[in-house]
Amino acid sequence: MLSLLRNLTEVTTVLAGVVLASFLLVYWLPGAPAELYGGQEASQRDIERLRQRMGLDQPVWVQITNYAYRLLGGDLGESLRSGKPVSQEIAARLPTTLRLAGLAVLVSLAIAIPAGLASAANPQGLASRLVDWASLTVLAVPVYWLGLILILLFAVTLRWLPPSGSESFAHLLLPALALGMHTGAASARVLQASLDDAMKQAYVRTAQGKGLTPSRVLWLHALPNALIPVVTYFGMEVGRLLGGTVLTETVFAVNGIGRFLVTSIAFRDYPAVAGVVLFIALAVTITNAAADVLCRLLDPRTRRER
Amino acid sequence: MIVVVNTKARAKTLALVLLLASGLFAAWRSTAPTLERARKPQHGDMISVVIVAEPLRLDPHDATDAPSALINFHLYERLVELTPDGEVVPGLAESWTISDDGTTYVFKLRENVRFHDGLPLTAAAVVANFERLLSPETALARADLISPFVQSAAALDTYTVEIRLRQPVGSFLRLLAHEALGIVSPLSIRASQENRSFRPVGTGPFVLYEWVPGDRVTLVAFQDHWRGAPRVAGLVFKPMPDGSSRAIALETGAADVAYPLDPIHMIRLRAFPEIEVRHAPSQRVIYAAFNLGRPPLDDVEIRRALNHAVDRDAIARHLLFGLARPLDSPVAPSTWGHSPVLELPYDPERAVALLSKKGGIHRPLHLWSPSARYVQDRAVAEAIAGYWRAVGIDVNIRLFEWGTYLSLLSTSDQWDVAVLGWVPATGEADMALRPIYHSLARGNHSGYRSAAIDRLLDQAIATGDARERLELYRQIQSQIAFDAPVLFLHSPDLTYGYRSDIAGIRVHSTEIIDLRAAYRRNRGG
Repeated sequence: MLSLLRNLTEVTTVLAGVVLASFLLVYWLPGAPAELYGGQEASQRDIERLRQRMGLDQPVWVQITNYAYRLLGGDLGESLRSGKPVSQEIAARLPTTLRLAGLAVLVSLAIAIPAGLASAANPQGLASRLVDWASLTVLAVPVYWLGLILILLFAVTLRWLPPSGSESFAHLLLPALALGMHTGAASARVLQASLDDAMKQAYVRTAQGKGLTPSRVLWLHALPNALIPVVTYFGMEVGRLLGGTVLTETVFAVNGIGRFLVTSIAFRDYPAVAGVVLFIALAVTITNAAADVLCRLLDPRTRRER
Repeated sequence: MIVVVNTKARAKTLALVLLLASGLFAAWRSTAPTLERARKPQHGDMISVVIVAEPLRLDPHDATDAPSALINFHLYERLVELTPDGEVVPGLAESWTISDDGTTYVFKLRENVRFHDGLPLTAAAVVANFERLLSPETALARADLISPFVQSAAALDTYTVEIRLRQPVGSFLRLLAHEALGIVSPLSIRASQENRSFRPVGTGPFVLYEWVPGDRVTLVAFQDHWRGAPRVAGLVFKPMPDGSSRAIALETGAADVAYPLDPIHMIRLRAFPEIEVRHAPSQRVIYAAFNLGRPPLDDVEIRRALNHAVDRDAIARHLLFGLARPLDSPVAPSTWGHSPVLELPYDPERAVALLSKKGGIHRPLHLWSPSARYVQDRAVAEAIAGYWRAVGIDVNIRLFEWGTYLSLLSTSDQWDVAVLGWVPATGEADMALRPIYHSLARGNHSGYRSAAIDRLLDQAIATGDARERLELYRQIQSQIAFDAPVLFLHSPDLTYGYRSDIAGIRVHSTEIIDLRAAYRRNRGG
């Protein structure tokens, strides 16, 4: 009970820090939302009026206090840019981001597992070297370039898939491929290394000693253990996939929260930036906290009070 | 490599994966919100348009960005309209009279106009629009477009509106044609005043059907429009910030219209028979402000020398692929009131002579430019620096993200030259000159103070007679060209493309692409 409370305090502190930091970082960037909103056509008086309307004529600590107060009531405030509630702006874009992230995870699994297995089956063989070479190439290429090449190949030359947008499953395939190839290449290497390692373990020798076929040893004994670091790696990708798909979303005109974050920063839209960052931080902390609780249920060794 | 097998990590990642999976499931099932009133459009006769960014507000009186202006142009109508050539023609007002002293305008409204919500257009509705903009409480972003000039608006009868001005304003009709002065339904005005959200309801040929934030804005044809319904079922505007993506969307047929197109893609897409690529003069002016507060830029001969040193024809021809016109005046050639008065041709020898007469420039000039704001802005900044280095001046270039740039220009005095752009939304010389060259203008980044220019600008705007005004604007442009408070560069063309089965697209030099009369040709017909 005590540890749960401690966890909760930890989480709240982290979130409060994240909100404060993102709010202040954007605030301290040169550039003012009222000026950016008013544009070059606005008069000085227009700008003053806008500052007042946006509440930017207040000292920064008053703005933060007001924001925090509303936040405690579960209100993320309004975007300075669109005037709409930030929660609404995020909700409108979240499904797309989740779809894209989920598809990318599937794509990368589809790449990583066969590639890792093929190379582990014969570590010195052609397949293994091919995987080495291909994954390094994909990792060395910037994701937006990869995206443009995919568009050229599948949308322009072959005309199989739409080049951009996010209205349907087909629209998200190319961006998911661009994103997933990267994660896939990275995790193929992780799997390759950990399979290689697992194959040297005592339990594999025991399995081999029992007279099992090499494929049974690989599939039933080595793979389940070797997958754990890969799954851990995917876990760490959650935050990146939620907020960091900015380049992919721009190249493919996908309307997700990553692109929203970038436009909000460009506009110095503090409430929107703080809202998105808070949301991502919340998603990551909640998954972590939930996992901690789950761990206590699953693993007796971690149940002892610290 | 040693991998530590850890059950806690396993459980943790399992939980992460589960959470992601459940989120995914929820996401697949969600659908976009729709506006219930408008008729669901049929797919085939919609025209899809890819533009740079999503609109910010579909409230014309509060919108300041170009995408909003473009969409509001189609949702709303104004008392008078501008043709693509810049002529003032009747809009919601079918006729008008101007008093002899030029301060009272009486507009006769069309009698058969309805708003999208069914309300008839009346004088009272127009007055409500003006009062909304003039009211000090509303704090709308566009208030100062009319508040310095308009004294009052009143309904004389159901279809007659009288607008009184504080002083004669020669460009008032053109001002009324500004997209920001679209006439909004009185019900929308009341709703926004009662703190409910603003509903974008106008009289225009298109009605808002849905707005999926960040993804698309769909308009459908207004069947009861006074001119008759438009020839297409609707327009879909999709934001696509990346230039290559816009070009590819057009090439693959994912979009019917792309605006703007980057010059590099214009050249490539010209080869396709199913795509029409077009460019047209715009009123945008690209210039570089000299910081007159920093010597030796306070010296007019130094500024003239810096102008002589730069080959603006070559910049327009090569760096902008010929899709720009070199300036021959402080205003663009297609702006009403333009006079070709600039006499600062490319002449490096004269530049050197002028510079040495003044003892030269013995410190590096700090040239600032935004990055990815204007067409080829970075290359243009580098070209300017190259030309100045060729006449013996040391130049430091700094590139900025737009928000930072805008703010630092007004707060920092560390810059000598700053690349900027400007479009006069009313299409005439006052809007082209006053915001940049009047002593009190916010956009006068040079710090150029000329009592003569201020007086002439005020005199010109108060002049009713068009010929007299033109002469005054010629004098103003000539004086500014002589004083050279800026480096005059070019006016980039509007660039756009569309599939060849689309017809009826017009563009306004004020950077509006007009799709009100657009339609899709029948295949084979």
